[in-house]
Amino acid sequence: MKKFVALFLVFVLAFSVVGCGAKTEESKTPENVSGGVTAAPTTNETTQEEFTYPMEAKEFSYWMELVANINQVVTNMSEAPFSTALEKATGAKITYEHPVANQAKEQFNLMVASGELPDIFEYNILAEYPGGPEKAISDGVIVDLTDKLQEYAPNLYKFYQDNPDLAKLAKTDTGKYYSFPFIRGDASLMVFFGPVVNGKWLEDLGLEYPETMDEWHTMLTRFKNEKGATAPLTYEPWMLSDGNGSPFVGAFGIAEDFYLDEQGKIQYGSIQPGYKKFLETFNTWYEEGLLDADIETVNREQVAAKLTTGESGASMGFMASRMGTWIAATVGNDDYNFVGVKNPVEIKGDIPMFSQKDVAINGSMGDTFISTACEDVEAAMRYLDYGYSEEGKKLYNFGIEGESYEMKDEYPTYTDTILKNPDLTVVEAMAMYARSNYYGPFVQRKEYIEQYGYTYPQQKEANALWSISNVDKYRMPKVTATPEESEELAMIMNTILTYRDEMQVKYIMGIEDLDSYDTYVQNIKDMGIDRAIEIYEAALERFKNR
Amino acid sequence: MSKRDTIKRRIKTSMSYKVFQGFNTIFLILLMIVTVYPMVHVVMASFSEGIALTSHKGLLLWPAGNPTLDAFKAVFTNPNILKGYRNTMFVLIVGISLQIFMTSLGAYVLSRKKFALKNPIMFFITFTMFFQGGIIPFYLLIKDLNLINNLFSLILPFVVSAYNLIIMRTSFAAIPDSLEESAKLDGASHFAIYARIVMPLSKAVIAVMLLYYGVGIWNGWFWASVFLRNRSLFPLQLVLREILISNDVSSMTQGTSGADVAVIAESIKFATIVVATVPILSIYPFLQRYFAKGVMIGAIKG
Amino acid sequence: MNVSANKKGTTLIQKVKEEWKRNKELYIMILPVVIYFFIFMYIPMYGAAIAFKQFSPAKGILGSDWVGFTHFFRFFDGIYFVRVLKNTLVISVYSLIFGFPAPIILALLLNEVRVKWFKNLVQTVTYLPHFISLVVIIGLLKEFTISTGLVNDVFAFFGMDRFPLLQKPEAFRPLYIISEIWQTVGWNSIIYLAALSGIDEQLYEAARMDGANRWKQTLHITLPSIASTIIILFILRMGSLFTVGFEKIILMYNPSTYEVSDVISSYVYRSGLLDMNYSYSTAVGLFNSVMNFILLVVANKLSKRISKTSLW
Repeated sequence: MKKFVALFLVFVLAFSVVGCGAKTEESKTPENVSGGVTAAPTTNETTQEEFTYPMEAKEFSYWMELVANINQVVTNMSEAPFSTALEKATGAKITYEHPVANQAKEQFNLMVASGELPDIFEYNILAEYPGGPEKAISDGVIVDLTDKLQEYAPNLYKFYQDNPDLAKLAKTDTGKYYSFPFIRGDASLMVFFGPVVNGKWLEDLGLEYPETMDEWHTMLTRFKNEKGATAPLTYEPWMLSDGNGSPFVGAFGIAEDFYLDEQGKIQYGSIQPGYKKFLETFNTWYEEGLLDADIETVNREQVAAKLTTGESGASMGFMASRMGTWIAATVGNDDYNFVGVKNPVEIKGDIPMFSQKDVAINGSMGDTFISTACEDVEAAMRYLDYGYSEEGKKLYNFGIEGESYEMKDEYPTYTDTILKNPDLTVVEAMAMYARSNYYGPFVQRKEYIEQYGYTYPQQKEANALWSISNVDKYRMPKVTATPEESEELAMIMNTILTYRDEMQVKYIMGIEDLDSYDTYVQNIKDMGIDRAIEIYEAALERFKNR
Repeated sequence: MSKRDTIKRRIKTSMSYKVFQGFNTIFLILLMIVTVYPMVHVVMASFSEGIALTSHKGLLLWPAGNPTLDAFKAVFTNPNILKGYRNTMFVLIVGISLQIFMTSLGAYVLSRKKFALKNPIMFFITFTMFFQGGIIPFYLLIKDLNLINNLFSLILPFVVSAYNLIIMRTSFAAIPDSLEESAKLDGASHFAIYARIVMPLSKAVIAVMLLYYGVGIWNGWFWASVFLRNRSLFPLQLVLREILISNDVSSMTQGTSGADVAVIAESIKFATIVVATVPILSIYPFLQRYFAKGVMIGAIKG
Repeated sequence: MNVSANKKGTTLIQKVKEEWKRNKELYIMILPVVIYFFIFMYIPMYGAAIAFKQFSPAKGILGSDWVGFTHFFRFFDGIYFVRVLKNTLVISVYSLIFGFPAPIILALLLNEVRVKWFKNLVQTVTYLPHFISLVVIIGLLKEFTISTGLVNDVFAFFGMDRFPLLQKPEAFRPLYIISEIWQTVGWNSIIYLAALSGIDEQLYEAARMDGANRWKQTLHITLPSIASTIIILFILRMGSLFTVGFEKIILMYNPSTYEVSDVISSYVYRSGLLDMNYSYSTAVGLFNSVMNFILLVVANKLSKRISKTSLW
């Protein structure tokens, strides 16, 4: 009798809860129901802890970019075994919609403007939506999850409880939770950019890995004189000027853009005395022919060509898309061995203050939202929370047990389906079964990068060396400006950056003499840098108070 | 005397003309060498070994590494490409028929000298070349017409281009009025003049329109990227673009995933360009004969 | 007075009636075209209002707040406004002076080629670069112009110094224009070739009878025959003088050439506001359109007076 009542209640629930697609599957078999929902939920809301997957059949539309890892293999996410498994595990039926990769912005803005939103979507609201998540909530675009998080997303909620520092990164200034973020579950997953040199040349010349700017100077000079390098140091020009990631500017104790000084106050790097030192150094390098003469125009292809033909011996870049390519192009050639080295410093033994390091929750790639168009927010939350549960993490990171991975001594080990697939590259196979090699609403685990991320041992070493850094202390946190402020900021910074970039080139190339540095600083002040700092200070204050 | 003079001048003319012809030929050959290079580069790169291409520098007159078809194999196993072909062909065939029909209709009417509203309508049309409502209201309109996620959203909103209409009208206006007058005397209607006289006489400009519209449709990707959310509807060019600009990370924030996102080999990018470009290139030789001199005059006589 | 007004009215109505009677077919024929432009071009035009509003996606176009000329002032007040405006015009005018005649000259030269297969070959080959994506074209350009590139090899051969061309402000505009001509000359000559195909061979024969040489024939027969095409295209080109697209610029430029290469579109693009601030980008676009349209109207008027060829 008791059993019957429970079953009855299950049925009532199954038919009364209307999903976002508003379609309840009528053909549902009782086995499915009783087998799935073991602890029968009652209408009493306090028994939520007893919830287990899969849940009632629900339908959602889900808008996301299909990244290059997978978009050359399938035309819709639903064709990937990962989606089938996720659907089975959660019970939610997903209709995927995909914009063209790298071009999602326009489509997203228009969906918002036309009020025609999908139930769930992945997008970079933090950076691309004017005013950020706070504004997106008040505009009625996304749902405020704060009040429901504990109840309907217990796994994510628990994560936030366990990691209050990270929780701060996932909230708005007024303390609202707004998304199911992509979380990098280990520090080794956050570092993937830094300086690279040709280790074979170092070996030939009897040099150690360079650590200080002076050692870099010596190394580059010897590359030029003894290895015949015509452009000893080359890199894609934008990499020099990219915020916290730039190793050479960072050597002088500043970031090129905004950063926190020892007192925790916001500074603008490009007007500091350290920046003048950097310009002097690079000017010397340029005059001495250590820096690529074409440094402002080289692109990715040319940097790769120069490095792999001995024109250059040092550069900087991403671990996979740059370093990996250079290594692959020179496999079996004894003249090359590209290795990552520590971010340079001024004084030997210092720990670099700046380097590229992502935060665990950067709120950009893979941030997943529930829109106001969704009719069953609770069920959608349940569905998205899966990626933070133990089972869900395994599925998102490793795929299907017995198919794409096996547990060996408690260690999820990828099978040959992933690593030696006859039809697919490793990247593609991985993306077919899991989402760990890009991003999504889940916690990324380090076992993924341990087995897959380091195609070459040099990359693993690079990751370790690049990780030596105090950047956590000095990095500017991801703060949000109000919509009005962000427009003002964009205007001020566009003028300043145009000027700064122009002057930087002139100083490095010696077109402009560094005597005029004070005037340059004054000009940037006149363009309103103090106002920009003020806006950031206010935003930082709000961030701290989250 | 006069006769001898004429002959003398003729010889002189033809001498200097021959010199001119010689220089002209040399110049055009040089021009060909310079302009053919990008195509040679693309084709050679597509037959190159992906890794060898990375280290390549300078002119590419022969595939880098050992010539290989690997890149093309990769392109043709890509499901997006074949679907892309199908979608582009659909839009091309339906779109171009409508475009030629509508544009020629408009051009015909607006090239009639005795049409009272000619100038106001020309102004009405030219105005739209400069002032548009922008992308948002356009999107809303397409949405209201129920064309989002539908290939017709790439056809119906673009059936007439003001620019092409003006070009076609200029060409129609050059057809001697006498032809229209005499046809009128024979009792021909405007429909008949349009269909039996003007259109047959305008093969050259129709060929130009086929090229302009055809290439426009073939190369168009922007509106498809805005209106389509179903990847199996993507036209070829959108697929190409996706491949071309993938990994072209140019800022750290975009590069966050740069740690491990797939790197599409350069050779595959070039093979995709070849596959996506050759079909439209091969149209031209077929249209070329309509640019031969005297096509129109011959038609008048015939 | 009443009567005369009445009379005038009647004549107007009569005139309309007559016109309708005479050109009924023409009105029917033009109707679909007019309807097309009305629906797809004029109906969305209300959207331009957001140039004067603070557009918020949630409020929609009509619901957003009016802000007057704020966005325009913001654009005009920028320190770099004069520079980017000047660069835009200079690049545009250069490309008009050098780029506009190039395809006409090519078409005329091709017109003189007597060997048919050679003519076809030149046409086909010269139009190829038009089809290659800009990303690839500029990639090649960069490879040729770096200090160790092909162009510098040529310079070195003549004993000149090697220098990275794209880092020289002086070299930017020539490279921009030359590469543009290189990429588009064949394609743009097609329309002139089509116009040339309409010339009656008898005209040349008559001229030869009169003893006109080839040069005179070109001057007195060929050019006048394609003059209307040239003029119309010129008027249309005038209508885009304030527009230099950002795509090629941002692929080609770098901070060392900003002073000559930064144009309106690239500057606005860099501000990052294009992507999220529709109001600002619409305001800048509207400014461009108004300037372009004025130029077009002036060019059209002048042309009407001088050559009797005009758009309306």
